Amino acid sequence: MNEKTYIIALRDFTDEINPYGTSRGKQTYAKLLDHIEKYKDASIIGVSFSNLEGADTSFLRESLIYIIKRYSKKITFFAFDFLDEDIFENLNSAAVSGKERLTCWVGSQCRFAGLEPTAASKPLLELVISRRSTTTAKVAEELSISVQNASTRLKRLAEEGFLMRVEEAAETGGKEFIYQVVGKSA
Amino acid sequence: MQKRIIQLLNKSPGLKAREIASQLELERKVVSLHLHENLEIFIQDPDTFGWSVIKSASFVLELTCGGTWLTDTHFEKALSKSGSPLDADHGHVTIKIPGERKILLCAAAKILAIANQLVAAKKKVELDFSENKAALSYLNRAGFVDRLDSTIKILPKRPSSSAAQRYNANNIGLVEFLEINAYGDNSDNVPERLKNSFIEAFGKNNSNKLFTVVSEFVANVEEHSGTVIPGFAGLQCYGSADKRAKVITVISDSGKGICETLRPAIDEHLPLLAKKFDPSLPVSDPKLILHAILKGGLSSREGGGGAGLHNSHSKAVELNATIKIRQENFSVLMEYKAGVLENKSWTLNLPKLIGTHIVFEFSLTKTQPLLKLEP
Repeated sequence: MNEKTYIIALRDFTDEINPYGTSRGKQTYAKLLDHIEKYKDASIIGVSFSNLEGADTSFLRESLIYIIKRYSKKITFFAFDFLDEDIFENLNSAAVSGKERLTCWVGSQCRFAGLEPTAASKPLLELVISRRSTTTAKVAEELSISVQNASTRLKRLAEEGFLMRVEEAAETGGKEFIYQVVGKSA
Repeated sequence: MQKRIIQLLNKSPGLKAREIASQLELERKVVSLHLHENLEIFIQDPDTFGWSVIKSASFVLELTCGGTWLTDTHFEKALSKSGSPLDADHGHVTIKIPGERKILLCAAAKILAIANQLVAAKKKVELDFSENKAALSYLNRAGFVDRLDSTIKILPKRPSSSAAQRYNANNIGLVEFLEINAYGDNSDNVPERLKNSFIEAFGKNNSNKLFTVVSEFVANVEEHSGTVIPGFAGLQCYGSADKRAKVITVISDSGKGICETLRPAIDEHLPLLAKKFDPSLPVSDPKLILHAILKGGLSSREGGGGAGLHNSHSKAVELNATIKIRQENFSVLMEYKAGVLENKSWTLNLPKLIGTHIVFEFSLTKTQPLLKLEP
């Protein structure tokens, strides 16, 4: 795996510790865009919420969520180090409003901001979260489903933005896909 | 001569001295001198120079209240009884504050808003605190007088300086009215200041919920309302430390109402929804606001404050809050209890009050002790 990960602090792109509103959000969006453009080799960016005491939904949608949308094909984002549950909830509402998904680390817990997975996908997603990283074959074995079924469902979760899919050399030779949750807690 | 002038002006208010003299076959100089020597009887419009008899030229909005606190409900009752002075032809308006009553922030906010709107409508405005000097002193500490147009006459006397500037947001129990301007005109972070005042009084618990609600509403004022008269926000804590204290927040502007700011984006991006809330039906407007708050989904990249309004719903659920939204001619009420919306209703055909006036009220949790209330 040669995934290049960068960490940024959202607070470095805001003028205040309690930013709010779409206008301030658009200013932060421009600053984030300017900064991220410099990371030509980035495949993962972790966004720290440290030192951010508050932020409303409109601000988070206009700034971070629309940045994630812009780079959705190139970079996988995750967020971590939230001051409290309310900021995470606002990020969740922002992601729902912006129709995006984002992996978040709230304390040591892996959660997702944005549209929820389908009920059928949840057990599979929870399994990957508990393992942090797994393969199609292991999932098929643990859930007693066919490899083909596991592969289809894992691929869908990756396409929906819940998991990262990376290609690695298998122990048996050849290539295999590793499915993993992105990022880690602070 | 005086009797004849009064009879004429009662019949035809707004005549100039020259016209009065002509109709009564008197000398203009004599009439003009008499009018200026009897300003307790006659009043002149500074723009048209027309004269009226004070009794008929003056509109009195008399606020009355049976209990301890004068609330926005009392304000609305007085407005319903007399009609809105914004709709009246009178060039002079007196708002009379009742004696021996405390004024709740939501009532003070509406008094402030209508007084400034009346000035913008080129009316002479008088706020009569003669019977309640204590209330004037209390409101002055909150910066009420700072937000009041400087031409408004305050009785018995306009305070010489604002106590709010001296207290500078350390006014526990009552935070001053903070000014909200169009985004870019003022760098003040009003939601942050209210949040910090709340933290000082009650600690951090719930402070980000309050911040979220206030910031979404304040941002709507800054970015969408187009208010020319500056808007304002305020926070007041009332009740006693041994019982559960209540926190009341107001966000007020004199700009376009919520529906007017939402409709262009809805018409463009959500035509089916636009059809559902036909603007020609009066009930559509309160229903649209309820939809924006309860269902959301009205925001778009191109504009509209729908997402922010919806977010206030989720915080109201968590805080078991009450949300009151007054628009120009109607109001919407949402009451949350035990984590659910228990009541939603609206009132149509209210007397005119321009803009959007939001009251967000909730009780503190039992586990959230009051650190300070009154100084």
